[in-house]
Amino acid sequence: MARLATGDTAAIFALAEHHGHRVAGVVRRQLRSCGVEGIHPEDLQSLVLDACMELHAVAGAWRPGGALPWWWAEGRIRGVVNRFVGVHADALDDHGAHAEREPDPAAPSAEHSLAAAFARLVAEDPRVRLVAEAARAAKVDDVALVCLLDYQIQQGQGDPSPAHTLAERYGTTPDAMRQRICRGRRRLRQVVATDPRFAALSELELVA
Amino acid sequence: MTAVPDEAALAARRRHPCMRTPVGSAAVRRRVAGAIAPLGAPHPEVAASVLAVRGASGLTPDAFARRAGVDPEVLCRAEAGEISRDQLPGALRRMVPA
Repeated sequence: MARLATGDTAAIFALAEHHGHRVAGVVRRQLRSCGVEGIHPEDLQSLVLDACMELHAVAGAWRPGGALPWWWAEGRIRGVVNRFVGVHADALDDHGAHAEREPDPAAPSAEHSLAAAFARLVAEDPRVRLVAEAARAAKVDDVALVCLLDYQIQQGQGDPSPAHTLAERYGTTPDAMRQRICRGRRRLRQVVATDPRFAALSELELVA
Repeated sequence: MTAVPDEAALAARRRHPCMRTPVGSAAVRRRVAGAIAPLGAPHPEVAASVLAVRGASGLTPDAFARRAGVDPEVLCRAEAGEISRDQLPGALRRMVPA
């Protein structure tokens, strides 16, 4: 993971060779949770390769102090599978309407795009940077923080049950999602309340 | 009490089909070459092959260049797809399939 995080393209080969079976395991599990039973070996190979390329592309966002490498990677692999399943569903739904169009480029997963947007905001906005620092101090990893933000956004947009929406998006159960949000929020709140460096964040809805 | 698996048991586990990667190295090479080609590199296949050799060795570019006895800058250019197979230094060319 450290080699991938430094942008070393050669690490893709080591990843595929030594951890390909683990990536394939996550791919199979996620496919099953999306209702796809059984997959052609060529499709599986293609998905594992997609996942390896995706991990290489986003590995720079991994922080040694954040999520464990494999746990972090699982979220990205699940995103690749969700895109694969989603593309198939879209093609079946309105095949006629899109038949003449150029294929749309694959959209990044919600988790990925939100993580990228957050990383950009961290660089640009000192207040967001403070939130990221508070999250680190609270031992809330990047994925959990992104979930927390996503949850807040969903809730703010009037979603009656954000946990259900996000559970589907992140490939987990609503109960697990609620637990993740609750735990992340509690830790953040504790750090903001006790550490004077983060006192400015006490007004934020995120920790309210 | 859980028994700690010895080397033989670990080796046996590694031989099990579920521990084998479903991805062949040629497929990874093709995919990496496909990712390098749009960047305008004239020799993406050579780049992918050199990266595959270094990836398998687990070495950093500098360490690999030292081990292979090639200039790190040449290795860097080869991995960027700027050098054809014929232009590779002998030691490196022998590692890269024709």
